[in-house]
Amino acid sequence: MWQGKVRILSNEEVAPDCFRMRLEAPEIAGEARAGQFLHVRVVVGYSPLLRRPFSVHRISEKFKVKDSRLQNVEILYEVAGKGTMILSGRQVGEELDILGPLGNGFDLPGDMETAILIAGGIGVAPLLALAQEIVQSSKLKVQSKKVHVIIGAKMKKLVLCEEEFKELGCQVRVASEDGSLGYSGTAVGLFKELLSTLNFELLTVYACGPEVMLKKIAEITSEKKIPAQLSLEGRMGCGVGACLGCAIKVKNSKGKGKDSPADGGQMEEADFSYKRICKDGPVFGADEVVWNRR
Amino acid sequence: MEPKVNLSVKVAGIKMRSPVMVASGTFGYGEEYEPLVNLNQLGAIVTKGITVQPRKGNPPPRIVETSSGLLNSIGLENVGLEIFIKEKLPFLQRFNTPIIVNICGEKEEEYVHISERLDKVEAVSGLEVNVSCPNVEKGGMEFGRETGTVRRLVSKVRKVTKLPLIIKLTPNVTDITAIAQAAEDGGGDAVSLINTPLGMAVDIERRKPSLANVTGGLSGPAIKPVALRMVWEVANMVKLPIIGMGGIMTAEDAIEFLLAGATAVAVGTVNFVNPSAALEISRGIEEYLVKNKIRDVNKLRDYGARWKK
Repeated sequence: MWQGKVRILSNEEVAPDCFRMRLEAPEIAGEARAGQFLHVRVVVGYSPLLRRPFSVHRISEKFKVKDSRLQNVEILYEVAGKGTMILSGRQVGEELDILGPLGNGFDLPGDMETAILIAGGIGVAPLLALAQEIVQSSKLKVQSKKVHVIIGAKMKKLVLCEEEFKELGCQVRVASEDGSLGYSGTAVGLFKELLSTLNFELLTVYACGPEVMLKKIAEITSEKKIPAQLSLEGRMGCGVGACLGCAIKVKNSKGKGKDSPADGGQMEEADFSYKRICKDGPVFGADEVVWNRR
Repeated sequence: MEPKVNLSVKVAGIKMRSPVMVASGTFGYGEEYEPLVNLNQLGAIVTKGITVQPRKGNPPPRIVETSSGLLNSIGLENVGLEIFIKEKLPFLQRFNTPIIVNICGEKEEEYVHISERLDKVEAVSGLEVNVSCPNVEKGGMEFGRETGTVRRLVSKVRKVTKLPLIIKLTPNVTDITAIAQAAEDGGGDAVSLINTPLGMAVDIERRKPSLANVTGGLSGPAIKPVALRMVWEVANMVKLPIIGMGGIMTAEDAIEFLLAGATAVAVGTVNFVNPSAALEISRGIEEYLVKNKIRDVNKLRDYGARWKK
């Protein structure tokens, strides 16, 4: 864990309102794992007051080389409010105060033979780092062609990272809600189709995206007994587990809730507890999360 | 080399190397920030509020950012007294920094039980009696809004422990000086002020309150002028030493509190933004003293007494 100022190397709009920022951060690049995040102070002053969390999106392959200018980390973000609006205006060469890497990161089972990565919208951000980590790991059996990536977006122009995943050798499928590119429908629909057409051995599912998407993926993987890991987001304060602001409801492993439907509204007090998204997550097992009823 | 100026203070008998402490609820149990902050350099660490039984806390969303502020309704989530003693204190004990345990309860008996238990625990330097948490259904702030209630609770706790008692006051009262006086009358050794004023925010897209608990406590720069005013008022009316807090972000902010009459200060929300803030603020106070040829930080609090309305 490190906090300090790093230089902005690039900050480009890669799709409407979606930006990719590259940072010269040797302290982070050597340590960060896919699924972890950076807590970024978008301004020097106190408006906005809090840091903003962003998934590690890509880590420079050259982080082992000595030249610190090549030890880079990227974040991918969508302009969604005041903080990200300010961030999108930050210029190359300026310094940015970052804290990280934080959180637990994705778990890569050694015996995994197939991985399906499901991205909803800007949720693609941590999954590129994950694909990178899977493909580059010498400890894993899984081949890059057994890494299936589903990219879901509202429309063609919001489909992110298709080429980047292909360059890593992944099998990439695209879903657009308006049918303007690839499968017509949501990432979840495409995921169901993929599961029904192929027979997967030793599969792990990884997903990041809107809560409604993650909830559906959790239902599908739970029913089919497929292990799944979800990267969640929440309003964060400290980012290090101190303020207890980013609570998420989880089933107690010993409680009755363990095998019951993941519906927060019906749970007994003894059957759930809260975990911290920032410290205990942001990656959670799909079967432990208790979803909100909205 | 000897420091050029004295930064050490004594609050309620607790000797601190610096007047800058970290406030309850903003520094976890210390371990969360240990990778980033040298805990040996803090004035004191005030732990997350501890209750007899573990508490889950409130449903999310628990925090929301507001203009120059942060609203929270954590709901006193904590590991409970016994797990705190067994699993959290041993870590804190490794550092040469006073540990002040913030204690809270739904009933008077719970405050008494915790105080009695911690009285026997060597690692604890003092208790911060939380009669000001605005985010729990029962207890907390309920005990801090009337002079009689405050006096009675403090005197009950006083009977079971020799530990220094710092009473943490809520600003959600008509006259905070009367509450501070009640804390003194009950046998308190110092007061911490302010805890968070109650606030609220609304998500206009969802047409619902931003916090699941509807209301929450406001912290951050937005509350600093209010906190400062209250510290000054209490300093002029009550003899007890004051730990001033509420929106301190910089050394300049901290110095304002010290000049207004606080013996020490605590930093809270700024820890989330800049984990090293307490140490930087401490250095900033030192530089201010050197620059102004003031040899002792304890000289600052005399100034507030001279200000007249």
